Amino acid sequence: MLKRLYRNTMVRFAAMIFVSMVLLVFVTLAFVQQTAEKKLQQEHQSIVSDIKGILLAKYDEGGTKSLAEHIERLIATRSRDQTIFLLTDPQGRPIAGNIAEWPKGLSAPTDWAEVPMVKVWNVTEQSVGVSTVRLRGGERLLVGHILEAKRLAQGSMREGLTLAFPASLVLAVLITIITVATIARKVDAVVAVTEAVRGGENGPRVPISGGGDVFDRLAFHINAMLDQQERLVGQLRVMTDGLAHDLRSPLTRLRSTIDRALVELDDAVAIAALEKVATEADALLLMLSTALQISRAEAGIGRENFTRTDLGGLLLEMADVYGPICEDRGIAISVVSDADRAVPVHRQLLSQAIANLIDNALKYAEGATKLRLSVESAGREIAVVVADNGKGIPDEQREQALRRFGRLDPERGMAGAGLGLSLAQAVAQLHDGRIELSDNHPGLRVSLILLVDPE
Amino acid sequence: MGHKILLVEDDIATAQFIAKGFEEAGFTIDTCANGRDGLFLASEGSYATVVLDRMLPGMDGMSVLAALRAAGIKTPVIILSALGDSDARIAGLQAGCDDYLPKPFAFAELLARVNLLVRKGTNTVVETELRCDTLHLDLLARKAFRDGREIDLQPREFRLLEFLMRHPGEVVTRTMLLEGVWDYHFDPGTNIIDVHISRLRRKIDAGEEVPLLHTVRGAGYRLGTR
Repeated sequence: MLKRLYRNTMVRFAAMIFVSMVLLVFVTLAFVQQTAEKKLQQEHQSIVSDIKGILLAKYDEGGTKSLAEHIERLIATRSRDQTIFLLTDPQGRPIAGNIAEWPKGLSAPTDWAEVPMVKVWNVTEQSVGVSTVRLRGGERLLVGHILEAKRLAQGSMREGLTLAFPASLVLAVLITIITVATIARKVDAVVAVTEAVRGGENGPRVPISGGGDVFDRLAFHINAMLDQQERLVGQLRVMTDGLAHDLRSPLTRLRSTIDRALVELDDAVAIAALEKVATEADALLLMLSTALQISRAEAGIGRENFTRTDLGGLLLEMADVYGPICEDRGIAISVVSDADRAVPVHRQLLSQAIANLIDNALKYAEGATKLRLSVESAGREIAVVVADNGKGIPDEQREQALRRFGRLDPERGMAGAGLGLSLAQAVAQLHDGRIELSDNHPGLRVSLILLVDPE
Repeated sequence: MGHKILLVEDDIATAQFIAKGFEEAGFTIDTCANGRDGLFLASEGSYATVVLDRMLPGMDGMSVLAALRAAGIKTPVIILSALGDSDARIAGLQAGCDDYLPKPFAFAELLARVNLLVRKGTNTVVETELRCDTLHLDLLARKAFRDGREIDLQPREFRLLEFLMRHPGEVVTRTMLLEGVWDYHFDPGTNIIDVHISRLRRKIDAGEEVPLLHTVRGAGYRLGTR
């Protein structure tokens, strides 16, 4: 499930935006904080350095006593209590200052160090930036500055991040939704047009916005492809129409001549011969019609005549039509359907295809006692299955069975046999599906699989 | 019968053949060879049926049909066409024709269908029962009786019998039965209709003096006393 989520482009998109936003905010805040800290540190250091300089000068002037006095005066007069002083004797005993003792582990001289300490009269520990120096007489001097500002800066950075996280999330989601919607709209426009054309409409094309972007290029090329497809299908239509007319006219005259002759003749032998001729002419016509139907179905002509049909009901009707003849041959015909809704199909072509499959079973399934018609749904694929328990078709011969005009037993003189399965295949193709032949253990199982849109 | 039929067909041999057949069947028939003449004649004369070829020089059959229907002329039209596929048929029916026969056809088929259209035009009563000799069909109760005794029929057998009885004395072809009873337009490869008919015949004619269900060789079936 997670893998699928990862492959979803839109999710990747949203994740990318979110992560980069958060990173951006984080980096910006970190940079700002670092810079601010540095500046503040410099500020503190220079203050401390200045004061240290003044005190050292005092020590040079008047020695320890003078220094101590100055320190006390500074403490008394400086209203800003951010500054820390401590003067100790060489043994570490405090002489003057506003902290109780020399911080542990802090050596002198130290240029700059950050030490936590507690000021006299205060309770809370604070972080202090200190600079220490060892005086000529062995005393140690410490000057420091409370790092209040730094603490504040760190606090606000944390606050900023806590705010930034949910804000980035919301913004990332918003941006993704808008982007996705825009892209989806463009893609939907293309899908709508291609679906319409496949469904048999002539004419709709993808609109070109004129921005010259990648979507316009896509639209241009898809339109060109659709133009070509419509041209080809149109040509096929014209060709098959012309062929139909050209070949059927002589066949019509042939048939009508035979009909008239049958009416006018008395000679029994001649009549018998003519009836044979009529049968052959009909067989020829059937092959012609079916071959043309196959060509047109393969080209997708006929999609505009799809109507919602209950497939289970269709099979029940077929079983009704073929019932008596099956009974006569000792074949039990049954119908099973798991279809729960009507689906758009070409009712006439589909019923013709199913009739062909049933005919094939009646003709070729030697030893069959059962014929089962069923509708088996599996998601988008709905299979109409004709299964018998006759002798079946061996694996290696199945492909030949599907070839147009292909017949498995060339000795048999049955008319129109080879085309039945081919037409069923073309009809399946018209419905975006296929034919599958499989073993029925025993017998043959022919599945006419249709692809339907999920509701 | 004396009904008048208009035939619009450009192929001379076919036109002659059809005209002769209809005349022998007792119809009066007018023939013309292009769409414009056909439209002209159909709009002014009162024909019982128009037999219209689809591929015509000048104005083609579909345009003639469209023009007729647009002018409000309700004369039944049967289209003959070399374009036999079901999509062309659907298109024809949508355009307003009453029947559609692909070429080539057996004349008996055309005759049977024209008879049907002619009769449909004159018949406006909705029946609740059908009778032929001693055969009686109760359409409301969906029961059949011969000589007063009830015949046990399956629903499809009833529908088959009903269709035959609605065309008493007329030839009904196998294709008409397939279309009329099950609304299917495919070519059945095997003789499925024959099997249906023979079973029906066993049920209604067995042991009867007067057989009612007859086979018409080369055409189809007929229900009647002769």
